[in-house]
Amino acid sequence: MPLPLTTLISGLSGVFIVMTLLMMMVRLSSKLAIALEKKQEKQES
Amino acid sequence: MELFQNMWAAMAFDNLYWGHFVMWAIALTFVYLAIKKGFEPLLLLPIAFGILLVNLPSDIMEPNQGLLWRFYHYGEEWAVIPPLIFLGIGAMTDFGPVIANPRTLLLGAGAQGGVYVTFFGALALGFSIDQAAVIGIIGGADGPTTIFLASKLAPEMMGICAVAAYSYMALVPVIQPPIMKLLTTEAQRKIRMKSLRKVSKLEKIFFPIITVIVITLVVPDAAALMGMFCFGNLLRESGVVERLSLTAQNELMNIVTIFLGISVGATMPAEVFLSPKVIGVFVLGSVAFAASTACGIGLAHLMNLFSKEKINPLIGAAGVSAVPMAARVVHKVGSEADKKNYLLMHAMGPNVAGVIGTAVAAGMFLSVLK
Repeated sequence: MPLPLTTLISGLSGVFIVMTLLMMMVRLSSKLAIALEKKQEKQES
Repeated sequence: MELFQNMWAAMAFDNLYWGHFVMWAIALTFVYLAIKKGFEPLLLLPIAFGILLVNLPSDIMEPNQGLLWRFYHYGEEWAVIPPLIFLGIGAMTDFGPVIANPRTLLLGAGAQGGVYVTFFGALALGFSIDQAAVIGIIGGADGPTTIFLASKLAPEMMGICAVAAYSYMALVPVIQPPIMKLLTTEAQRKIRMKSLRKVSKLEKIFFPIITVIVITLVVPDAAALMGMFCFGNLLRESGVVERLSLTAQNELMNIVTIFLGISVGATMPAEVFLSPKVIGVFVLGSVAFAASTACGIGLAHLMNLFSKEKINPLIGAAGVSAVPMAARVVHKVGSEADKKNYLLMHAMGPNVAGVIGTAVAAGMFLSVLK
């Protein structure tokens, strides 16, 4: 495959893979953070 | 008489040629734009002075000798300064809007489409593949990333591309609104989005840690930029190192900006800058910027086809980085259609995601081309 085409395909797919993974991880980490905070609140009360 | 001849020979007047005068005019125009018009003055003023200095006959950019060469060599060629700028940007950035609405990360990716459109445009105009990548990244509207990529792939393009990137960042309020209006209907611009939820401190602490892990694993070549960016953000969100966070945001940022600006300006001697290719870079830069704006809006339309909760497609335009100018422009164009539509915080999501997206795009170029 010509180098410019390789650059295009790997570049665009790389950016979208990173952002999709990041989106999923942010959602998961938010859930974890909220759960941890609730647990801490319960323990304090 | 001989004394005067010797004195004249020691002076630099004989080394002047017409190109120097043209560059002085360009430098003074930049000084005017920075001071009088307020166009990115923090960078444009040092860049302008660097242009002036390098176009005065002296050894200031002489390899291994000149002062500005040392700034340039150790700061930019070694790719030290752009990551330090990212440290400061990270310490200034609030990722709350992205965490509250993670879908906006995709818009930050979508806006990188323009980078690749321009990459092919530059190849068609006869630039080498490395130069085309650097020209393309102008579409990300991110000066430090452009300089970082240029230092790795095409150092000869650094000055020109940096000036183009910062010029177009200053011109966001001029370039983007017509494209935004062309690609959206009045009804779409009126779409109101649900208020963003409050994001907790712990979520904000998790974000930079997760981001650096994910990005470095997928695109190791983006580690320098994203590592510093996430570190700066952790300093900010941790709340326990306020002094470090403030230093990264202020003193360090200001110091590296001075070195960055003046040495980038110094990469533009007349013999490099006054070539037809420079016009090509500026034309392609504007294409990159316009295409990135269009791609961001296009992706927002696409997401609306598959989503119950509609997003205002204007916020896709903020995916071009240029924080926070692009988000402000989105808000302004949105409020022209509906005065009570408050889009600023919604646009900040894709705006900061665009910074990440551009750094990742640069990392992908590096991984394929270096």
